[in-house]
Amino acid sequence: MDENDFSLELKVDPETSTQMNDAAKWGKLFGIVILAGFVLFFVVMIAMWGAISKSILTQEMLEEGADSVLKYSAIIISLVALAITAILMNFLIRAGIGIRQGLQRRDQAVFNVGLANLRNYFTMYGVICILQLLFALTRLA
Amino acid sequence: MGMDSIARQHIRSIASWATIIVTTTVVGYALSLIVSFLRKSPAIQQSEGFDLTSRLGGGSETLTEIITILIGLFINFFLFRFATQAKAAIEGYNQEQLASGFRNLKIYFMITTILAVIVAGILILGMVALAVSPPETWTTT
Repeated sequence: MDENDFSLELKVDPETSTQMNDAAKWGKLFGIVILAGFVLFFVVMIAMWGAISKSILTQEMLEEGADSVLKYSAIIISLVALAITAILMNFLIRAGIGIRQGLQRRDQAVFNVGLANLRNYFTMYGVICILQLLFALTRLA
Repeated sequence: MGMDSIARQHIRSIASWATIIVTTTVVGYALSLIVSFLRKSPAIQQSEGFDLTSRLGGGSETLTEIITILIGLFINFFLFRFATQAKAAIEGYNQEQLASGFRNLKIYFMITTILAVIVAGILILGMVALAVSPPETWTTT
């Protein structure tokens, strides 16, 4: 029997639809919160850099010019992290929108696009987790 | 709405990556605990005359790490349940398991969103506090 013959046996019934809709809603909210938090953190860091560097660095370090080195390092690291987070959360937000729209309109194609975005989110997150673990292992060695 | 072969393939893939995420996270927690205990034991031996302070400091650090790990395990428990139930639902064409799986994904996103809001708030408040308070006001023990 072809695999597609089973497609009618597994449906998105009202209960599954409610749970998927809620999961998509919370996933989208999570994506927005993380992105907004990251951007806000970045803006606060830039806006209060002078005061923060004075708190972190000693007077001697400030005179040696460590402030600008620290500032540009922090900006570069934050921008790279922000870019990775933006890509990751973009998948999650698009997944939330796609799954909810697909369920509301009962549109299989839109629903599948939403699921594909959720798969991309989990794939990217999984790769990051593997890299983090490898980094931890090398630190341990 | 039916669940076509593409949707089922996406859910299967999402479940597989979710399992990888949970596995790598749990292994990472175990590694960080090992590193924490390895780091703690020589510190106490080296700090003659200050062992009480060292023990107290190391103890609170380990306790914080254990609490963080417990929260992480609690969150990942829901992701693991989503992964196992979604995979079983797709393979066994079980409607109830599919709904239950997505209920667990909803709880996972719900908890992570609430925690993200709390952590982001603390981080931003911490940065503002760091910027506002001059270093002279800091007390060292």
